[in-house]
Amino acid sequence: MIQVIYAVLLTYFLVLNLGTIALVLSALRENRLRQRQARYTNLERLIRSNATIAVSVIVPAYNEETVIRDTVLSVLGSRHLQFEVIVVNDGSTDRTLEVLSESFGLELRDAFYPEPIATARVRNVYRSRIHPTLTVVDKGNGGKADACNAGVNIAYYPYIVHTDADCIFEPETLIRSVRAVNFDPRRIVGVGGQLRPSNGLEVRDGRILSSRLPSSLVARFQVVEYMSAFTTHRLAWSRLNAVPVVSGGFGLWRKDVVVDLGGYATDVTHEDIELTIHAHRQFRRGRIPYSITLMPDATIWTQVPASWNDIGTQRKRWQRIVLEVLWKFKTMIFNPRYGLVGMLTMPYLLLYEGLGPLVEAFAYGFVAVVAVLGVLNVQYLILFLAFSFGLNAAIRLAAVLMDVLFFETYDRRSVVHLCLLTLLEPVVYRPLLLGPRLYAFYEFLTGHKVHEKLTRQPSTTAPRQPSG
Amino acid sequence: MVALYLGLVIGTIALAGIRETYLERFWWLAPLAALAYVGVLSLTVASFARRRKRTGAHQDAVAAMTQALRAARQLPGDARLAALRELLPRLHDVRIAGDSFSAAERAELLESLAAIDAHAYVEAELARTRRKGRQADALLLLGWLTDERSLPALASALRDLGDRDPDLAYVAAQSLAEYDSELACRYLMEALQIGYISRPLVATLIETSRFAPEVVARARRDPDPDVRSWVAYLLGRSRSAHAGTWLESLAADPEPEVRASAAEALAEFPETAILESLLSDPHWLVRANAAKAIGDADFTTLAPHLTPLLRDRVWWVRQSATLALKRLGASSVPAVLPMLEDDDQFARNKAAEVLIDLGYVSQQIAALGSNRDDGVDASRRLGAVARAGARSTIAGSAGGTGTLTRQRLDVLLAEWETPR
Repeated sequence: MIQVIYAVLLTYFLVLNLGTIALVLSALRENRLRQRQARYTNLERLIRSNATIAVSVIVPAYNEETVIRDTVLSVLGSRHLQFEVIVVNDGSTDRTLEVLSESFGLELRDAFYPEPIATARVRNVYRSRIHPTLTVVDKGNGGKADACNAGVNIAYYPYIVHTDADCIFEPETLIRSVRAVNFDPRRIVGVGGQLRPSNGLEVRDGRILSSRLPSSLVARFQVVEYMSAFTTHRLAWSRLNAVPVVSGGFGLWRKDVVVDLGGYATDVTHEDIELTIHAHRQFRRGRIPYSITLMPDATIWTQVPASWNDIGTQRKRWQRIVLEVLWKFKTMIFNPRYGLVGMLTMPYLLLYEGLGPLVEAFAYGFVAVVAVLGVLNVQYLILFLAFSFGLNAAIRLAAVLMDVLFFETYDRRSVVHLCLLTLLEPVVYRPLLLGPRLYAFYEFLTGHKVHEKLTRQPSTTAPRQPSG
Repeated sequence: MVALYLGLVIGTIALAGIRETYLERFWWLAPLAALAYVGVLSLTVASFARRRKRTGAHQDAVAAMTQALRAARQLPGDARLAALRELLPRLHDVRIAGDSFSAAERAELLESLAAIDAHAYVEAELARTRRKGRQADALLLLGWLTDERSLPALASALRDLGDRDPDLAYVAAQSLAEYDSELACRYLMEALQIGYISRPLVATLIETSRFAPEVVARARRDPDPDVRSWVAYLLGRSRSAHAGTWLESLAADPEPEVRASAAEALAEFPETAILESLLSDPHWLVRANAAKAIGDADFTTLAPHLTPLLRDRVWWVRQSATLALKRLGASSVPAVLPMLEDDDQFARNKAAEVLIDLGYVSQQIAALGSNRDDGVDASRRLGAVARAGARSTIAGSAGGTGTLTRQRLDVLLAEWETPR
């Protein structure tokens, strides 16, 4: 029996890691391709042309008084000919609305527009005196998905971008993502960007002055983790047109697709993964050609949890949403009707993201039991741990390598630091997140769907140079 | 896929069957993982070192090239050409160094490079190499050299690569767009018509060419409606004197997407009669774009024709008409006022929205404080706007007004709140 369990665990481990290695290799090729595309595209022509698609950027905000000003300024600073910004104040109980009003000179406006997607009651609509392209929707609290839906209802342009209230855009973030649509306007329905932790950024008036590694160790671990998620995993999935999620931090979608899907789902904890899988299902069911892709050079900087407490809360939530989505779209799993999404993405979500914590916990428990029974094969344990940690670290390091090769985000010191963190990550970071991820199963079974708010730090602002 | 899953099941059974020999067979996995880590680490370190070295070396090379080019400039005719010929293998550095020159110096440099047939050197490189990066670099160089003798090579790259590698084809198209030449423009138009690469991308390249109007107009009878709608867009962007006439025929196209594109493009021409007729087009997109064009072109005389669109059955049309009326400014107020009493609630709403944005409400609030008839008129007008759904905005606009105005407004607000 013990031998069988050993074999099952090792097979599980081998399958997932071989799959991940395949993703890394595929991402390497895709990164090269995207880098070449970016290098040889004359962005200036796209920026100046009316033929470039127009977008409405939706920024849902709930109690974001510390960060909202910089976020909105960074979006407004986008180099793009036609775009509007819609901030949706989702019933904040802090000074979010006041900060917006003071910073952007808001004026109350009765606005009349259809509401194809039902949302919590919109109280007021404001327009900015200073930035005519900025609209603020003030509504009752209904959650992030509901706020996004209110933004979709009022959006004028045929493409929408959703982002988070703590995200900082680079001036070219929008145009780089829009470029994907311009390359293939008939097929592209969704585009993701590359999220990076913004903790440690120097930002002034929405402009990034410099990028450094965050000071907190937890946040630094996430730098590696985000690199791995975006530059390897999701990019490789994008190559197969089977991206499991276009992140809530940045997602460009065709508005009519979002409306046809009924908007962002309010019956799940997180709307981003639900919308992505839902879109896959819709298009694959109807056998309609489509593409959901990722533009790795469209960089968005987002705040990540800087304390163990916050990251535990976040990961518990992320685990819960994976389970909710797996349950909601269970008929897609191992279903050839949905092509690679049904046969690869969904099984991967199930085995790796969904059941991962259970298998990990079972493995630890199994080791403890066999140790107590006195039949623990220490040699096997050492072999397995060495293999597991070594391979995990190598996979994470490959993400750092790709960042060095294709993005050149960090300086030498930071890269050395990140390399060291790849060694610590499997032994320190991941085991510590196991508890919250397991707790998510309990929350999932009890129907808990609260989107817990994490602590926000004000964007780091560089001191002004003394004048004169 | 089934084979993969079957393989996994068989693999598990096989592993379970190995039993005692298990460890002996798989001992190499741990060192393999360590080796993988070391391998990736070495690659990371090497890549970083290469990056630093490359950046430094590149800067040095460009600085040296700048010096070499400046030195070559001082040489007499043939000697200068000979010196430049020596630099051909480093043409990329020449380009980067040349970009820092003044326009006159750069023109002189390009002339000298044309004299030594630099384009032939690059074309040979393009034909020889199979590496995509090098092919793209060569294509970009041809775009920089802008030697008209390279146009056939660029055109064939655009044609041949279109199917196999749209990215490279796009680089070729971008290089063609650098040429101030009718032939280059024709090649690009051909790419748009045949669809070698995405049409919006080609359109961004054609729209800046001064030869676009004539070249584009030839395709206005293309059988593909998508092409015709891009033709309409490009004619609009060209602002050529003849384009208005060509757009007139496209505005009567049987396909709504072509008419819609023509309507939007007409903003650049004083063809108000056509736009006016397009406002009653059976297709909503045409009506919406015609309204948008009227706003963009500031055709104030057409404001009365826009107001009926505020009650259009399609929201997009209503919204486009609203935005257009706002853009037309104060001159559209007389046309909008009657819409406050329209039977259609949405039309009343939109009329109120326009009037608010045009400052009409602020003016009436200011007049409210007057003791003359103006005050009475203002309260009547504000009442009409409030009944059209803009009570909140009126209430919110009262800040900063005098006490008397505030008091009168409060009375009115209370009155408007009472259901009629």
